[in-house]
Amino acid sequence: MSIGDKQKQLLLQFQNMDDLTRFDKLLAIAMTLQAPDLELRKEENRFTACQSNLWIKIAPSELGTEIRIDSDSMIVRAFTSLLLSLISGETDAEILSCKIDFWNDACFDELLSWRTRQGLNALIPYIQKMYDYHKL
Amino acid sequence: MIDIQDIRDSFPCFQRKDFPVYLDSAATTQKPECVLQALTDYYTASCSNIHRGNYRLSRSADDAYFAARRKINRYLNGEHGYTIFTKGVTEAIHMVAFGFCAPRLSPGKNVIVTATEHHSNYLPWQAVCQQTGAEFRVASINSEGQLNLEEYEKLIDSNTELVAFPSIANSTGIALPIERMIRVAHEDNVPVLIDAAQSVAHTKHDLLTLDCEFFCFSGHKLYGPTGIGVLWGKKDFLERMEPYQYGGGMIDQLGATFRQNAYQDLPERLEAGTPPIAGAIGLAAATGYLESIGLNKVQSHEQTLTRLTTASVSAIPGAKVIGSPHHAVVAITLDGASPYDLGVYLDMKNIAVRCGSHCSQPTMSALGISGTIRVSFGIYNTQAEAEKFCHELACFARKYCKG
Repeated sequence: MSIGDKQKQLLLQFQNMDDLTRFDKLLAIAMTLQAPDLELRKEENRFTACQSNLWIKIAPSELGTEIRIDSDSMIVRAFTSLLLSLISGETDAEILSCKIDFWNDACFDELLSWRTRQGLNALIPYIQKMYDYHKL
Repeated sequence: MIDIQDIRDSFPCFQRKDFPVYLDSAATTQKPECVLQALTDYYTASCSNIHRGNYRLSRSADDAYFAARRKINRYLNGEHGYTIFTKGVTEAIHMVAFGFCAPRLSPGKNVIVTATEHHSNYLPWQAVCQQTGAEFRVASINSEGQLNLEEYEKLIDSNTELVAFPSIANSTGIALPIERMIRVAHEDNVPVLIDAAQSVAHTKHDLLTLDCEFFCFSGHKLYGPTGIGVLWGKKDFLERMEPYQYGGGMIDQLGATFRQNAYQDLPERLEAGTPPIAGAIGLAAATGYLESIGLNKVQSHEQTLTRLTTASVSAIPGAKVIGSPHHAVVAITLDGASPYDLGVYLDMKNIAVRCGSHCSQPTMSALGISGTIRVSFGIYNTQAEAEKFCHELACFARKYCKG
């Protein structure tokens, strides 16, 4: 299944519910995630485009390019974990050409400020740039 | 005691059924009918430019604008100085930084602010020091948000050109000991600027007694319109100030060269261009509104809400109120929750609060946090609204905060 198709499926899970249920669902996802990555939460890893604190590190590993990402906002943690689930196991070529923007769907309007949305939008080109860099 | 229903009835916004529980008055206040009416009256019955209009309509605008200036001066008990209308606090501070301080600053000189400033009273001073080579000094605050007063006193020396500080910190609601701070600065003959953006709607200021040199605030935080603010200054200090902007209305006789220009007297000399006429008229109506209620009653009501909220929030496991706020602002952190998530949740419960660093990153750094939820009250807020906020905060903590 392509990243685009996975994204469509993901969105179906969030549409047709009220905002509070959607909020609950996102925070439930965040609460299942690992404890805050304190080693990652350093100034040099800060992604400044987001309204909440967001830290990201992309580095080559034995298994390919590894992305570590964390936020102090549970909403943002949930969105970034969903983002990682979309690209997990995909090839560099697929990741470099994909368009991920499910957070721009109208169903998330009440959950994302303009600036947080801009931050998430800026994340994808950054990830692709780093993938491209490490691919070389 | 105030009649809260009577107050709310004078604000058209509260007639809307979907209007949120509005707890963000430190960012901007809602507007009473009398302010909206004053704006409408100007735009429908007196709309014309002021200065030199030789017709009745313009003279009526002149009258209303000049009356607004006199009214603000009286409101502040500031008749030993001038009220200059500005766009807001940010512009007022820029006028002093670049019109008064810049010509006096050079390497070896310094300007002092505190670590609990809004960025509007931080960045202009940082910028003017950068441009002139002067030293930018910041008096620190402790982990509870309180100013380290001894350090502040030690920072002032014979090379200090000005100290600037808020009457109430916008991000924490903590009041600074401004009387003492002014007295200490004056012992070294250092002029003082007070950023009163967060106090002017909540407490009475008597500038004759306070004795500061500059005092500024934004109208929209005082139930007035946006786009209007005040720089008040002692006459002899404003007279020594260079215009920050040049344009129509402030010139008397244009010379052959810039040095030969002759300017209008104060206050017009510092108000280049068409001033915010409607805003000034609306702001005067707002001060009249507050005076009709009585600022002592306003303060008493808001302090009750602040005390109630502080006590209720402090009882929620994991929640902490920063410092000991007294003046309508309560800054809160909740273990395991980001202010952003809380703000989104509260919005879904139709409660409007502000989350983040509140344009006060030095304060957040000193407190060792990235942001807070800030609840801020206006004259129209009720005890039931404060209780609803506390209830929803407790619900969020129970449901979403681990441990």
